[in-house]
Amino acid sequence: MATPLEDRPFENYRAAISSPDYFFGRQSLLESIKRSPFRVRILLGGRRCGKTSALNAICWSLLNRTQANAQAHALPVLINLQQEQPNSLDNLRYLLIARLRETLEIYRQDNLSSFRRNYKRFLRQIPGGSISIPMFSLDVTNPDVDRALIHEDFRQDLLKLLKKLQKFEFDGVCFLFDGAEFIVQQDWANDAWSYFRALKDTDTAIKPFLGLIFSGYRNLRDYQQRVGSPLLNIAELDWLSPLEDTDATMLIAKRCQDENILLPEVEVNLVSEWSGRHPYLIQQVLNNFLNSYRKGQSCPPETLLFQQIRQHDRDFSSWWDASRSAYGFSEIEQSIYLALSQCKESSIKSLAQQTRLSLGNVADTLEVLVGTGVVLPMGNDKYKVGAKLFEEWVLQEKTPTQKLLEE
Amino acid sequence: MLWILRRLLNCWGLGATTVLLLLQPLSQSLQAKETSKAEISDYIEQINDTDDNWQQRSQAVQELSTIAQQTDWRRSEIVEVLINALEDPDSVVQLRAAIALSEIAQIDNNETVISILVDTLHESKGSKGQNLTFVLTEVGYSVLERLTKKWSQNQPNSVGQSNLVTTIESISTDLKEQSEKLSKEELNTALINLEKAIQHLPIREELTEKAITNLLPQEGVATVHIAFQSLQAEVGRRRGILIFETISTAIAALIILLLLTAWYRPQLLLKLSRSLVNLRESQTKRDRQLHQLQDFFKQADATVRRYNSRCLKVVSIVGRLKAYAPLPIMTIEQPTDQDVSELLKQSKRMASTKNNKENAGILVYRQSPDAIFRTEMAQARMRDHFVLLPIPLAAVEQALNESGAAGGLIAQYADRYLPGANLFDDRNAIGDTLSFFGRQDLLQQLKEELQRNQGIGLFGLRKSGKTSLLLQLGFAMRRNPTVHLDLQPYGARDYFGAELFNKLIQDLINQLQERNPSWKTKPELKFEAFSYNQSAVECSTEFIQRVEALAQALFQSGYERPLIFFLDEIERILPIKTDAKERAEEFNAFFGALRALSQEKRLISFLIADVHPDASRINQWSQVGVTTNPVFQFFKETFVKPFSEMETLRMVNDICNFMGIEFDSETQQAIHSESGGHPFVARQLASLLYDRIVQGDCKTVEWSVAQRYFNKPFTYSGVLKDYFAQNIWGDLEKRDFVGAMDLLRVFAARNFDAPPLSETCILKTLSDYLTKSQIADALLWLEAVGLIDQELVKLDNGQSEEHYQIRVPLLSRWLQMQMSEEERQQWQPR
Repeated sequence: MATPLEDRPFENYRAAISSPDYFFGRQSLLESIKRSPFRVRILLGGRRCGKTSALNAICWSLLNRTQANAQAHALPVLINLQQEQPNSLDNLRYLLIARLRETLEIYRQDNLSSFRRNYKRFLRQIPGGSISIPMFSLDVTNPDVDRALIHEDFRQDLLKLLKKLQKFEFDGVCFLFDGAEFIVQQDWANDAWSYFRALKDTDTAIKPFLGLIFSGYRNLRDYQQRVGSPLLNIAELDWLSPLEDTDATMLIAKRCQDENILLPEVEVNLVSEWSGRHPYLIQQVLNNFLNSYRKGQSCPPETLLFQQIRQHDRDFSSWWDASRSAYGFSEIEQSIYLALSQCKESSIKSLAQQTRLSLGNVADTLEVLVGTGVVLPMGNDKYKVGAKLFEEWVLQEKTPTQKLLEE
Repeated sequence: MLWILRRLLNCWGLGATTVLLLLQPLSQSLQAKETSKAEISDYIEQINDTDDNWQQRSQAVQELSTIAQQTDWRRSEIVEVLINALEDPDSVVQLRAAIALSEIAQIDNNETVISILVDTLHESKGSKGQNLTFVLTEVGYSVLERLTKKWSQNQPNSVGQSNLVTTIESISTDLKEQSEKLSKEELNTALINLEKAIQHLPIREELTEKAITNLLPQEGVATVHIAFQSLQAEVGRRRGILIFETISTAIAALIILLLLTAWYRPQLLLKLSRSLVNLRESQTKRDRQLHQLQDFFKQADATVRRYNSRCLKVVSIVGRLKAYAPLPIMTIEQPTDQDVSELLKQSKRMASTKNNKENAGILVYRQSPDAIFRTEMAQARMRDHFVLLPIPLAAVEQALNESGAAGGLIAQYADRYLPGANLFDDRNAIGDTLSFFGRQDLLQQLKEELQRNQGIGLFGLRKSGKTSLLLQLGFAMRRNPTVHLDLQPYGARDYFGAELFNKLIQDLINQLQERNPSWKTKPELKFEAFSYNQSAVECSTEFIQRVEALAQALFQSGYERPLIFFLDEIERILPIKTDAKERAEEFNAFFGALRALSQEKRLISFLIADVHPDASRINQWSQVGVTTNPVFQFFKETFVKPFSEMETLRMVNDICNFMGIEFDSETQQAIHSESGGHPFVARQLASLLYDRIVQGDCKTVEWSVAQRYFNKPFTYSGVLKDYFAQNIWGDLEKRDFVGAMDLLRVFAARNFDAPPLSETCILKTLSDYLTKSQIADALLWLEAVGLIDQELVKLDNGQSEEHYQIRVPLLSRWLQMQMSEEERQQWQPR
């Protein structure tokens, strides 16, 4: 049964959060990025785990410059790679400069900015030209048509823009790449990764003023550069795990306050238990509870649980199976999840014994599962299954792996 | 009276002779007095009798004068008589009396007589007054004080006052005329007395009043002023003469000393002149460096002013250091602990003018400072909250050659040294000389070999410090034109050669212009870059010609031979099987040009850096129809080894000191043994302990607390886990280096405390999987990069055999985690 669409922001909380008032959690990550914005970071998280929302929150946090004087300030530039779809490293370089220019203009709130944007659009239509007078001829190629920049041009443009940024009290720029797995799927991925690594390794003029944040899933971490020093070597890797208990409680309170509904504690606990504090699932479970309150219907929890499992069937099936989606679980991940769901709570060592996998393999897999938001870390090497909705859905599914494990 | 005295003495029976001898002068004096009394009375009578002839009076005056000069007996009475004689009708008598009075007054500057004379002067009129003026003038400057005193005690508008002024004027005139004849003491006393007189005499404005003008001539006062100035001038003149004489004497003495030294000890003179030249040179050098630093900071958008001979002052600066401005900059050849104190002092002095009390200073050095400096720097940081940014001068010089690099360099050092940084967690190559540890012998060896035109291949594991080493080598070889080329951004195109040629030429031009600014306008330096679509084959001839011309210009500008090129991450342009033929040709053309410049022209030395020595070991490329590798076996292979225990401990200790924390010795040793001395791994282990244990007041890491993190390092450090997964294992998998992987599995399958494995045992265990050659290759590479250690063990039969042990137990721990129980059984040594 489909949930009636109420007049709620962010496409009924299905889209990324784009207002700071509705964003909860990830404080330590935000603080860490604000403290040192010019590092390379890789933000990993499962589907609908709040990666885009987290990137938005990083932008707000970086633009909110109320910290101590000695703190470095970065201008955030968000680039959605799934939308931009650069076709080469030169094109990516062009996009970086173009988006940085645009962001800077928006930040300046210059009246001329819209005029400039239109003018730039116009420029992109002109491929170039040739000027000839006696004894002299000049061929001009317009880089805006190619939408490509070679290294040296990119470097010079970036240096000029960094200089401009200083006028606005920004020390440098932090590029945030949403959907960065797009790059690792390209044949020029190695070049791009090596290029970013070089900018942060040996370019004295640029490296202290350039931050790079890539968001994506496991494949971003697992990508092996064919040649050259891996970008991962100098990157900090963060998984977007489920929300903390207090953050989840605050989010629920905010939603209830917005809708003038007071949810009883039992139901608040149910929201937390069913969603496993997975950001997207919390919002959706809340939608259902609030909807039924608004309609004055009272449904037994079992029915509501069943309804919601069905509602998320498409999501869950894509989360579950790697063959259906790039964000899906591999067979090993499925087997570990099933093993964990059997014992509700377990350690790496006992899961390794249970599945006959190596400790490293189990630890890596659990890291991914926590990052998808369906497994909760308990501390002391112990883990438990998170979202009950997903767990119930998995139990209802009869996958070959599960059958095998049951046998 | 004398008779009575004799009688008394006779009665007392004392020895007459003795007593008489003793009393003889007294008796003579008494006798003289008895005689003079009558004479004086006669003379006084004669003088007072103005009817008598003038000659007798004149004689009487002279006689009285003689008596008064010989004894003070009745002197006042005589003086009174003589003063009266000043009004004698005869001018000769007046003159005699005046001279007599002046002579009496001059006896020991007789205060009583002078006092009488001054008092009388004040009350006198006409010739008597004039004569007294004459008398006092003769006495000289010693009466000035008394005259001034008298003046100040009376009303100004009287005749007596006028007499006083006239006398002072007269004395002043005399003083002015005779100033050159006065002794030093006399001159000083006269000056003091005149000054007092000036203070008490009316100023010129007061003299304009009519009543006074009549009595006190302006000229009189003016003369006193003129006399005072004249005496002052005389004092100045004498002082000048004294200085001149002193200097002349000193110079003369010095010349004599120098001549004597030159004659008897010429070597001492040479030493002296040498130290003077050195002093001058060092000052010139410091001035040049400060000027260079001013340029550097200007490029970084900072406002810098000269503060004193040793120090610059950053008035304003952008970035994180903004809050610390104004701050001092000092440049030192090789800093010592005293320089830290000096910089702190300067910083505090500057801090007094700003609201923010955060103290910082920048110290630019040529030679790396010693351990005491580091300790003092750490102490100043903890004790005085003083942030010191030590920047190598070589880094400043390099940054000046590169647009925008100055700001970057300052920001880099600010990030590193401003409070809050975890100095163990260094992910990028280390450019800071103070944070670079060990490798001193290797640096020296590489430097010498490059200077001999030897091509070098520097190889080692990822994060083993190759790039850091190159950065330090660049500083060490600052006398040679050096270009550090990171190949990572250039490998994306098949035709990468033109971009690399452009970069090399442009860097050389920048260095030339920085060293010799006059070259900036030279047309021959106008370089039109090669089009990036051109192949290296097309550009190589022109590139060689360009480099030849630039090399000559650089050597003429004072750079030493040869040019040095560092080519880092060579793997990015190394042709692989799947590459197009053009890419292999590009590699050949690029390195062909470099080889020609190195071997034929002897102009450059170049060093390549990578993980594996493929660039120098592959001769024939997989691409059909491409010529062989021009740098096959061209490079001398050098592997970057791990640190010794001492080097690791020093690195950990130094960073601890700087961060104000402490690791106990057991923890430090564990860091070395678990990391095998691999700097990155050791630092990450220390970083893990710092992040997890050091909080709030807890500044010490003890083994009892640290142990659990050593037992499960990968649960707590994703960086370490990813390092082994991606950089070691991932790299071996990519290369399909089965031999090395199997060998590491064999080591990991054993217990941590198992003894070293013999070569025989290894061969036996791996014989089912690998050939002997594969095992030998793997052993060689693993040992070269420092993942295993080899030792010769003497066997029972007297022969020796190579034994191998894992050097990085942390790698074994990681590998064990990746192995299931079955796999561990499978790889157990046989």
